[in-house]
Amino acid sequence: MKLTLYEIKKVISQKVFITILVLSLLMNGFILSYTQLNKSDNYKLSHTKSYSEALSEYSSLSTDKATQKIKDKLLAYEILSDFQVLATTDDKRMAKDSEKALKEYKKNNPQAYAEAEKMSKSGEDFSNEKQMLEDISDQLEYIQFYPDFINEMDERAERQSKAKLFNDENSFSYKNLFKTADDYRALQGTKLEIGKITNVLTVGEYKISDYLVVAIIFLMCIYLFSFERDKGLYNLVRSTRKGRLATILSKLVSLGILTFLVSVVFTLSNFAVSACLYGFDTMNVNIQSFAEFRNCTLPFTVGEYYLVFILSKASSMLAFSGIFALFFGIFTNAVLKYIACGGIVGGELALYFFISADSPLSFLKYINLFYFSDTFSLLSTYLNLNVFSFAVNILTVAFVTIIFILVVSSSIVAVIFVKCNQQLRKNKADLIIESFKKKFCKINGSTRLISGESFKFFLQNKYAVFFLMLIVFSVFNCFGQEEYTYSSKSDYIYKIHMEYLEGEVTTDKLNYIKEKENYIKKLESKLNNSEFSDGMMGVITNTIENESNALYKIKEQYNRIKMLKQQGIEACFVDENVYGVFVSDPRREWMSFAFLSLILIVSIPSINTCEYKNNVICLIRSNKNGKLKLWLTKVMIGLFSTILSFICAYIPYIIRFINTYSLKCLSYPLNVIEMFESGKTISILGALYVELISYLFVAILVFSLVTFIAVVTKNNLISMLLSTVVIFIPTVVLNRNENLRAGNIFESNFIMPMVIIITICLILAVLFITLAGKRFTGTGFTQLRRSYETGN
Amino acid sequence: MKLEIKNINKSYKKGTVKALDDFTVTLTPGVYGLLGPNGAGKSTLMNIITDNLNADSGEVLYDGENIKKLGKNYRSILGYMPQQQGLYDDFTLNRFLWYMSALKGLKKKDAKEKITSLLKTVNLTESAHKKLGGFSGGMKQRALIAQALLNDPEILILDEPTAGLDPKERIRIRNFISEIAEDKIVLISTHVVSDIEFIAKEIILLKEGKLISHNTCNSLTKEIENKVFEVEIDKENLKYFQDNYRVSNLSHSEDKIIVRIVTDTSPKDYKIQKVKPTLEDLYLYVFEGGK
Ligand SMILES: Nc1ncnc2c1ncn2[C@@H]1O[C@H](COP(=O)(O)OP(=O)(O)OP(=O)(O)O)[C@@H](O)[C@H]1O
Ligand SMILES: [Mg+2]
Repeated sequence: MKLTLYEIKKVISQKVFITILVLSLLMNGFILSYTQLNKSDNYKLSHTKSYSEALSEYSSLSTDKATQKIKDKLLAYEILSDFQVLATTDDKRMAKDSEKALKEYKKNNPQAYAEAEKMSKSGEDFSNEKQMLEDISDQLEYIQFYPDFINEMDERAERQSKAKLFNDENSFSYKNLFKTADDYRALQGTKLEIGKITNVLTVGEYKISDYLVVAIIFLMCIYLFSFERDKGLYNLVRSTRKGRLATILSKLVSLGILTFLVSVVFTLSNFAVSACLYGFDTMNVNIQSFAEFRNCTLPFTVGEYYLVFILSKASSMLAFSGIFALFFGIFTNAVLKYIACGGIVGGELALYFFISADSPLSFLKYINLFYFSDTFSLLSTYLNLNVFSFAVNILTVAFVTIIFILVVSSSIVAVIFVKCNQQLRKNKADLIIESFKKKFCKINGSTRLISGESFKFFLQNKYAVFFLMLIVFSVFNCFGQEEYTYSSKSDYIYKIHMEYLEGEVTTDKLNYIKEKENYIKKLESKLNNSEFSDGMMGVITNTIENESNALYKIKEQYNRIKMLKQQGIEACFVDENVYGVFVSDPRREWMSFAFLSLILIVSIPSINTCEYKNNVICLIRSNKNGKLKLWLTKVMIGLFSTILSFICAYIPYIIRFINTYSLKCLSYPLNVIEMFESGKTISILGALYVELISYLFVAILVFSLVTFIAVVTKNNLISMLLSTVVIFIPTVVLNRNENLRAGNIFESNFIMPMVIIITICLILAVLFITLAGKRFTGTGFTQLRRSYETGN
Repeated sequence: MKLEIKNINKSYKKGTVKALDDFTVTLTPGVYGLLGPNGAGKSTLMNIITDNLNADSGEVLYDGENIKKLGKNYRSILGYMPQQQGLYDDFTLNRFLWYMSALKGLKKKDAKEKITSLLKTVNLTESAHKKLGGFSGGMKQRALIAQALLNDPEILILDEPTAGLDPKERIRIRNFISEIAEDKIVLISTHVVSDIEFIAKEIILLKEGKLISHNTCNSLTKEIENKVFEVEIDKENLKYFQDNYRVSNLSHSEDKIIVRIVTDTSPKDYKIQKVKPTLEDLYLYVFEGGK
């Protein structure tokens, strides 16, 4: 017990571990909320309050009454849409149909009709409310149908058992059929109510935290099983009285405990983030009340489900820890360990994703670590597996498999540890390489500082791998589509027009504009015509407004094009929304900047801190080029990494955007867009370049700040942490700030602001670099000793 | 060529720990042995001489010029081997030496020659392409020595260069250092007195940051000429001697014990024989005070 506590303390007292844990928790929450916030048309997000109010309103009614009430409401929305069609369409037949329908509604459903009329006059957008009601109504419908579904199971079993296929009482199919029926019979009479389980679904679908936890388990295995072995401490440990079985068991137990805790913390934080966004779920309702859990045979309420979810997630993570521990026990070689663990994770992931449910190999999909850790599907689907022609529920299988993995791997690891020599043998591959080198390599190298420094940064500190991954990531990022969400109806209309109009001005296009003008005029004349009811008038006014807004935007742009033409500048029609976003989008700008600064925060400090970590700073600084020149070399490497990261962070988006909208007007003036009307004449591409240049200088500023922090703190992790606080967190907080960003500079004369931005960045960057350089080359290190004594 | 160290004061932790106390010494070509117990301030002194650390007051002059002013020019004639053994574990020795040559601003051709010959000197040619991480303690130590000699330094500062070396390598290195020391200022700190006893021109004794004594080996040992004895005693008396005298050596002969002691007042009633003092005796005399 005491040993176990020591082992746990060993892991927890690692600063690296705690930092990584905290950072990944933050990242996990950030990604979860970011993906949720970015879901367009998510009424659950914007109407949290009215959604819960509606739920409590309808759940207090009987199912039939609630259904009826919602039906009435939905009818009103339907009538509303007819109003809209009738008022705005050009198509005579459609208009007639709608008119007829409306008359009918007025006669049969005067109440709903009146309501629709009221809504149409208000001119608001009701699609969210409608979606909400539809969802509730779906749930009500499902609740009514559920008893039939359960009863049907029994009947079906009876019926099917008579079929030929199910003749053999010992066959899996036969057993499965009756087991299924039995399991569902237990659910008869389950009370169903409406409610919401947004958090359950959100957290259930979210996979990132699983991957993070798996990575952290791997890290913990390194601390528990590799560290001492690598330092040759196992000989010492194993020679003590409790150094064998007790030690390895306590290591395994601590891995288990830590895994469990980490997993629970991550799941809880997921629920917490989701609850912050969506409010609380309805806790005391049976889980079968939701269509997603129709096939679930577990008799739980939502609240109990939470608990079961957290526990089963943690247990599935235990399986990972068991497998990892096994590999860490078997292999002494680091490379083999990585390959084995990576192989099993990758292999299982591939099996899980690529085997289809009806394949004969489907057991590989289901008896799979990733299926076990997909707790939501595990708990919400009903599945019996064929185990020696017995029908066994997947939950039992999962449970038994996990126990099996844990028992087998711990015993193997324990036996290996107790019996086998744990001394570190030299890696065979290394030996071969060494003897090869001894034969063929001459004493040779380069006397250029930069080659030694880059070796240190890229190869010794493994940042080559980091940047390679970054490059691969950004290449992948170049593909795919950009989504543009339209903020209003007129935006949408505008987009349709622009799809035709975009490009150079032609007479055809001018005619098109005229046509649209006429259409609006026609609508306006309809207004004067008093044959319409008030509701209709509302709808027509609305449409006129939207249409003319869109057209106005186009005509304004046409005016600007003409103006430019007078100055002898060729311009063309461009979609103001798309191109506007392309050149200036606060959200994207902040996101890319946050991403970039994260890369820099992770990579830059080690350029300047590795000397302190290796205790060689004194050795280096006493040489001829060990001060200024060394410093400049380090700055060069840092700048190179900064530029590389900059490209990886900013360019993929641009390529993706161009691919999506196939922007053909990039070389035409930006100034046809209203937002940039008053600015200096510059082509869209030119603006992009200018913007990128100013971002680059901002990136360099970030680089210099991180460098400064690294030189002052002399410790990799502390400087990462500090720069996160100083740079990254403010960036995320400012995320939505529209005033504080480079894109603004085009709205007025851009040369001045641009010059100002660049000079400020340059001055600050030079300042930070000089200060850092002073510190690096200076001899005022009173803490020289301490930094390398306590440095890790 | 001379290196003057003038009135150096250095304290750590805001003055609570005095590492060097008004330390003054002038070095000319030849080997200097820096002796002192743990924490005496030897490494601190070396860090100041190599311009890795600022003194609180005082200055270091090379041929009359402040080393801070000389800067790069000073560092290019400096060779330093620090005490700690942290190295770049992923560097091969070859790469490490090339990297150090780059830091020392050597030309490629010179570097190649120098590295090849130094690898031979420290007997590491075979391991030139092994990673430093896989080196034994003594091998790392030798790699550090090689590195210090790359630029043919005029001033060579070695902080415990022989720690962790086996006798063979120790002798080898010692001889090599005395060989090259003719026209160089070499400052060696060590706890192993025999390392410098014969090669050092002068010995500097340092205690709690203060310069105790600075003289040639011979004249230092002369100071305790009549204070070193060998006494033959019974086993029962050993404890008494250990408690009351500085015992520099013990040897058994049949049922008797011969203890070598350094003392101002020789013990009576025993069979005493005066012997020739060594540096080790001096060390004991100076640093194990009060007996
Ligand atoms: N960075 C530091 N912070 C605080 N005190 C320090 C620092 N560096 C050295 N000291 C203190 O200064 C004194 C002299 O230390 P120094 O390392 O110079 O001794 P040394 O003679 O080299 O010892 P050793 O023989 O063990 O190498 C010691 O008391 C030490 O504790
Ligand atoms: Mg020392």
